[in-house]
Amino acid sequence: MAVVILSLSVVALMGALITSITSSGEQHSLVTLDTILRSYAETAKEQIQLQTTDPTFLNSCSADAASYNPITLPAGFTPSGFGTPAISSVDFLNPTTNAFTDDSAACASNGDDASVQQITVTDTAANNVNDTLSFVVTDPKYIATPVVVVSASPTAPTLGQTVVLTATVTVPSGDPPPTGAVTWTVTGPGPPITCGAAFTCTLTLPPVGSYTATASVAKDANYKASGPSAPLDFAVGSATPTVTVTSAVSTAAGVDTLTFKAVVAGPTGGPPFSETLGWTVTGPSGPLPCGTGSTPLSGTANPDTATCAVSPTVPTSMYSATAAYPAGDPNYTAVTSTPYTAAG
Amino acid sequence: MKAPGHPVLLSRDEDGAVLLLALVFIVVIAVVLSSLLTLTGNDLLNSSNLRTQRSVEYAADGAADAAVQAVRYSESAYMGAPQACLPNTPPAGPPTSITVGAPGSPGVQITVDCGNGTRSRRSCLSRTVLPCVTRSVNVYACQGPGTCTVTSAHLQLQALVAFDDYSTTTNVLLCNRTSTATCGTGMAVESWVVRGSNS
Repeated sequence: MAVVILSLSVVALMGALITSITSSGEQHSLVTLDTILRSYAETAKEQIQLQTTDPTFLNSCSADAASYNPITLPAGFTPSGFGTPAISSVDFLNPTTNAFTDDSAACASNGDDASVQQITVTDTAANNVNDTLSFVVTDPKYIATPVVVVSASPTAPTLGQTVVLTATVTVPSGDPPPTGAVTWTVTGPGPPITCGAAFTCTLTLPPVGSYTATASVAKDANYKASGPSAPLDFAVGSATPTVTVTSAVSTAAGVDTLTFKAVVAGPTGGPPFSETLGWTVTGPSGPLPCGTGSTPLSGTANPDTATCAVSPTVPTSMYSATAAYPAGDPNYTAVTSTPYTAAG
Repeated sequence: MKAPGHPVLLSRDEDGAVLLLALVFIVVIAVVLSSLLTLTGNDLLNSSNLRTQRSVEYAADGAADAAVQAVRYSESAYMGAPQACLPNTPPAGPPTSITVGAPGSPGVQITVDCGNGTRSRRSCLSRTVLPCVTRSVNVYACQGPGTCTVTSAHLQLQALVAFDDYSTTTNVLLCNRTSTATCGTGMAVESWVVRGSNS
């Protein structure tokens, strides 16, 4: 019985002592590992966030341990009995859960932002005690709310002008320009407006009316996603057509007819004219009406032509004609030609 | 057979003494074992606490680092009560807390709020003296959810960070959070106090 008690006591004592010694050794290793990992983390943060040579911050969902390993360590960094620490994983901040995930596919697909990353470093001691430490690094180019601004050129376009919309994301001087795809949303009169993914969107001959444009720029290797921009409201105003009057004299059955011809022209490719051209023909005896043989604007063409035929009351006299395009056409403003004088 | 008139000789073996010694031995061993087990338990607990405290401290450190980076390029001085200031990760907006931890671990939830900041534009009008401090922002990192202030019970870290918002290109105060060249062109950590270990 005494032998049994003594044996149990010795075993218990030895077990407790061994456990205590092991724990003490583990604590010693943990404290040393803690120092190693903290130093390593500070070194890694410094190199990843601040330096211009690799390993620099990789703002991408493909960033992984290989992207940052190896961190350059000074000679004698690791004491004997301890392994060299290394980055074991890179995680991305999931904006939905506000937790870090190492799922790079989810990062790329669900809108995660790679500009905030968690890096985990691991080190192992000779007594097989291992420790990990996680720290957070941020893209040194991180901008809290990058702003994309849309501008239009010209700022007050009129019918017939090509409008170029430009999305601008301001970046630090000397930094590379953003290259992310641009998503445009442009609304206005007429059919739906489609733009490409470039930083400019060209509206060729946009119809008269009010427009609203916004743009979002997708993230790229250097910059996070930005937008949508503040809406840019602009209007395409009506154009001023040109009205040019010429004349011709024709003689039929011994009667002279003086025909004034007006060519009304809008911008190339612009819509036809919806209003009726008004004539003012003045001869030596006063105003003359347009008579037989006159033709109105066709209303289907641009440029369009109208004629005003008058019978000269006093041969060999001078007749003056002006053609006026009236107000009322949403696409064109009113305009009056310069007087054209011809001999009747 | 005993002779009459002679004293009776009693049997005196060592059973009692051995029993006593065994009892003493057991008591001593029990006491030693108890102490050893307490010591061992403390060792194990210390190891665990060391890991936990280190994780919390570094999680708070990392979260505060991220917040400082976010605040640096914003024009806000967070002059009022503390509010969320972690990086604004679209599309959810700035979170109030993030969970930091190695993959597979439960992680440590850290709330970071910024507040009680100040602006000091007067000393920077000509920017002839460096550093030019235009904003000073307090960053508070707490373990767990809820608003984090200087009086929070789970405050782990309090930092005071000063920023220079003069543009590097135009040398004027033109902080508009559109570029890293207009806000936070300079930064200095004025204090970085870890409170978790001492509380």
